[in-house]
Amino acid sequence: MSTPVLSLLLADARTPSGGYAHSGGLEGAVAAGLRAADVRAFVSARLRTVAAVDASFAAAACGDERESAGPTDRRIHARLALDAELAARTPARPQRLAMRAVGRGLLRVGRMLWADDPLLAAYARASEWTPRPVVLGLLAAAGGLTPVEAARLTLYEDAAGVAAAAVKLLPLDAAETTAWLASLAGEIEAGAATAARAAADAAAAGSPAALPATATPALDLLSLTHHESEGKLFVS
Amino acid sequence: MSAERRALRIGVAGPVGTGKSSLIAALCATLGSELRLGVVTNDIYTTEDAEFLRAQGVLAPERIVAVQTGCCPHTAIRDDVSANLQAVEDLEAAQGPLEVVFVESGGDNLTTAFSPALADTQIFVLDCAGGDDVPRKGGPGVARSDLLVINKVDLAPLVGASVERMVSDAGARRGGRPTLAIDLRGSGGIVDVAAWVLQQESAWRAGTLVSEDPGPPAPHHLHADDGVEHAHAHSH
Repeated sequence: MSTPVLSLLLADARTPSGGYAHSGGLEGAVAAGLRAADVRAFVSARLRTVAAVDASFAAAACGDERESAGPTDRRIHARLALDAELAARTPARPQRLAMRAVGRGLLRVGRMLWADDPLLAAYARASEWTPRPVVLGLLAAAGGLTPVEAARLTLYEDAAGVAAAAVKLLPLDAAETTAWLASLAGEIEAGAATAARAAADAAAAGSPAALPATATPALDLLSLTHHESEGKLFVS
Repeated sequence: MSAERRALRIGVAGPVGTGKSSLIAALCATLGSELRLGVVTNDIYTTEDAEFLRAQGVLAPERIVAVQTGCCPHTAIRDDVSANLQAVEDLEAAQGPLEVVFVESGGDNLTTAFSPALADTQIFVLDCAGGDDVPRKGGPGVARSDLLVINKVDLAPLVGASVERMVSDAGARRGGRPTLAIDLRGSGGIVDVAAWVLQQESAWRAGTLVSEDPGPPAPHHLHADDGVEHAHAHSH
């Protein structure tokens, strides 16, 4: 498949991974007082924090050309190390569960697209968590995308997912949230480059621990409250 | 998991309030001693349906799980079944081996139908109180579900509905597929639904089950002015 088309396919909300059931923490934030006018800033804050971390992990999981020439054993070991590093950056259990759910959904699609990919098959067997950023990086690698493309997809999906949830939670016109998304293109592009650089630096240092670890304590705490709340639309 | 080894997955769909949860509770009460059963519920806002089923005491609480669907009940059973598929797989892994898992859709409209990736066979539930013209209006659930249940026939005289008309309109739509008119409060009919479930389960075990995928919305809207039938897709 041509890689630009593959990028579109992976960014398309109609590609089934169960993502529509998640709001990126927006529903919890709305319950805590966030208003329609704040959504763009919320999305932007995610792009600089939690989504930036996810994007660097997707870029790292994608790996560059040199890395992809290595033996499968070493490559799978490196992805499981990414699982562990990402878990250490995800202290709230509801968020770990959400990352697992959408990662597992995406992995199901990936296994259908690239049934013979040895790395995907080995990761599906070995990973107990399958968080979305690592899975997305692996799918990007299987399809021949680059780390920066994997990072861009992660950031775009994060922003688009929150925007889609926003129109169900707040009095907002979807055309307006789409315009917000478009206005964040520069941030997404810059974030993708930063994330790819961070992944390359961590690879050069031979240490996934060197990947970004920006914390978002407010989102972590809100996710716990949201998880226990009744009458919610979104899982997370 | 091979088809013979995993549980038969029976989808139960239908509009809000027609008695999907009550039907599943009655089936569990009737069949619980013969079959190892599990239930996955899809609520829009809450885990109310799962709580209702647990409160009925017809099945061990751990055999009933709830999936939340980001206010898209139709999406969760048809367009992107990731969350439900994971719930069924996890339920079977934790409680298995099970013989039948019922997947209850969130109450939706007449265009609801399960994906073949999620349900091996499906029941569509209507009730007399919702209007006796509903079978005539058609739609995929009415026309091509594997079993159509017309519930609450005891209410028909109270709301001026004709059970005969509903059954006969349904028969005209359903090309020989079965329709059962029942009432869960008095004598009737749950035994017939249970017999249908047992027959589906043996066919599944024998590898001879053939389900009719309801597919896209059926044309059912006749325009008087041009006499042409138009496919009439609803969104929820």
